[in-house]
Amino acid sequence: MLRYIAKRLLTMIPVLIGISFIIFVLMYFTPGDPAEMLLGDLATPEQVDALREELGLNDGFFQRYFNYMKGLLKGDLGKSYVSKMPVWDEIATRLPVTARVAFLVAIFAVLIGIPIGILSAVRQYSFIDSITRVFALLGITMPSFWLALLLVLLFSVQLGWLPPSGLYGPIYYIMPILSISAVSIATITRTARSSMLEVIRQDYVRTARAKGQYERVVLFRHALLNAMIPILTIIGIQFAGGLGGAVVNEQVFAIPGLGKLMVDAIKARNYPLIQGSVLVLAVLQSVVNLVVDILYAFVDPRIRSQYSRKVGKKAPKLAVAAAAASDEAAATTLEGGDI
Amino acid sequence: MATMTETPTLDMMTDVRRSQLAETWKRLRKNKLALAGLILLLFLVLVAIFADLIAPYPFDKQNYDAVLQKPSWEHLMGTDEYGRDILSRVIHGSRISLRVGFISLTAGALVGCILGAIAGYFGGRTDNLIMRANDILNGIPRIVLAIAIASAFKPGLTSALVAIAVSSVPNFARVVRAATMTVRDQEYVEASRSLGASHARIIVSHIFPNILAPIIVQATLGIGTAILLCASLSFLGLGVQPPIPEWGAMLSSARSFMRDYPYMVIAPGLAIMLTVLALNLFGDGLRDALDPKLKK
Repeated sequence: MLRYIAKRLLTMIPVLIGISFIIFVLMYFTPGDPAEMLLGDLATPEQVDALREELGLNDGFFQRYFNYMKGLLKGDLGKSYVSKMPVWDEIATRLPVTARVAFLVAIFAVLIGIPIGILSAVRQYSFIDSITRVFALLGITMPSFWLALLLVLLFSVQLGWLPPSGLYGPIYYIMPILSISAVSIATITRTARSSMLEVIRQDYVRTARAKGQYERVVLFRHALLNAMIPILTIIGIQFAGGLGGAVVNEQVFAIPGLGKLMVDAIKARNYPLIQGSVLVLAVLQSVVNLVVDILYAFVDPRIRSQYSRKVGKKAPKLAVAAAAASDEAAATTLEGGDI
Repeated sequence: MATMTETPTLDMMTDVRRSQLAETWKRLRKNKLALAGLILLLFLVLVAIFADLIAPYPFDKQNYDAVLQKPSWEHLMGTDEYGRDILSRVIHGSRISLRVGFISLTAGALVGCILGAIAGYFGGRTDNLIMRANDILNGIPRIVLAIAIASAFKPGLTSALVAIAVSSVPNFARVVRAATMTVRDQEYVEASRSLGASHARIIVSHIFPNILAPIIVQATLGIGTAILLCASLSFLGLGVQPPIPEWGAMLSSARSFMRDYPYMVIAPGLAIMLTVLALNLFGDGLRDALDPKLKK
């Protein structure tokens, strides 16, 4: 198990290097001159050039990439062009906000989505099932920022119950969490439902029922545990989706998080800040992916045994096929609700 | 009313591909929700094509005598801050959204399919290389990746297209790779190989037709996601720019008037939702129809 975690941690390194390279290239080719934007219209060409020199914008591609990577290795994300503060300091004040929102969204979505999905599967074709499916479909098709606007209209403008923007106390979290988690709840519900439905039809569930096992034990021990892999995959993806949703909805609710920081930085052509915030968001997602992978091993003994033995060059064919299949399932279900 | 017993016609027996299509259609026809999705989708496409004829006003006609009017018989969905008819703008918006959805997804799907098929077919080092590159793109939350790409260009339709296309590649590559891996060791592939067929030929004419089902499903659902993504980008001010009547951009500018003119944020959002709903209903139905194993 430890070997597996270590191995997964090591594979994260090239991915993160790749991400930082892509982001750097994107920023390098971005049109517009940050120096001109910073100095405004009244600046003389000499002033602009001096600032370009100072920011290192006159260096060549490789020189700039080298400097940027040298900084990254030391944990230095550079300095914000606008505030002149270290990028890391700016991100450090915003990161907890976004992470907190995304985390709460994930918990809320799991607590609501999984039980409803199971109930819907157990009572297939019942009234509850129909209602659940309709709402799940709406949740997936509704843009989260539009839902956010509608919530503001209802709860702030019409009823006056909730504050429309800002983040100064627990009640400020209600609307952001509701609007961002709608997609996640819908996706988790759908996955839990279909995964349960598939498992319930299996022979071992019938056997368990036939031997007179309590229905509760059948559902939770025999069925749910086996239905957990696809659900886990989706939860991991949805956490990332929560991060993305937070990025957009932070604009609606004027939440001082990482997403708002990034979008504002893009509008100001503040490259170091954009690079930094994208990188931090990517690291967050990678960590979540890692945690989900490790959870698989806890839930599924087959995967666990695969890694407790020395993973040789000849991975069992069955396991490879299973991994590929779950990969495909994850990718397909990913559509329709990952923003 | 579908006949329950289908007598195999000559043409079904001779042309397997055609009969498969007919079978799929037969199953799809029984699924009322999927059919509703298809009809809604066709309706939206027609609206987009004939937008000029349907829309009561030109989408960019400003009328300063009728600014910020509530919905009435003259303006069914009201007017915006320039006195433009919101219904007409929403109708014209379907052109933008559907176009962005189809074009960006086709481009992304093409690249993703090629990469995924190569990775799945050859395996080994090639697979590793492609999938690690895929991991890199996958490591960034999709909307963040799209935002980062969109910000590297001047904001506009093209940048949104590119951003959405690129960010849809990893998903396709994964689906196609997994599907390719399940068929690459089949007898018919081996047979074709033993006859001396080239790799390209095997992939294009033997593997591809057999993994078409998941690709079609993925594409249908993916267009919906692409439309949502485009609306989000435009809402943030990084995608399609006003005065182009893109739904997300409309919502973005309506936001400042929302407090006093709430009707302004209803129509564009509803339009996004209906379009994505149609694609999802149809896509889900297709998935079930193409894979008879799943449903009983």
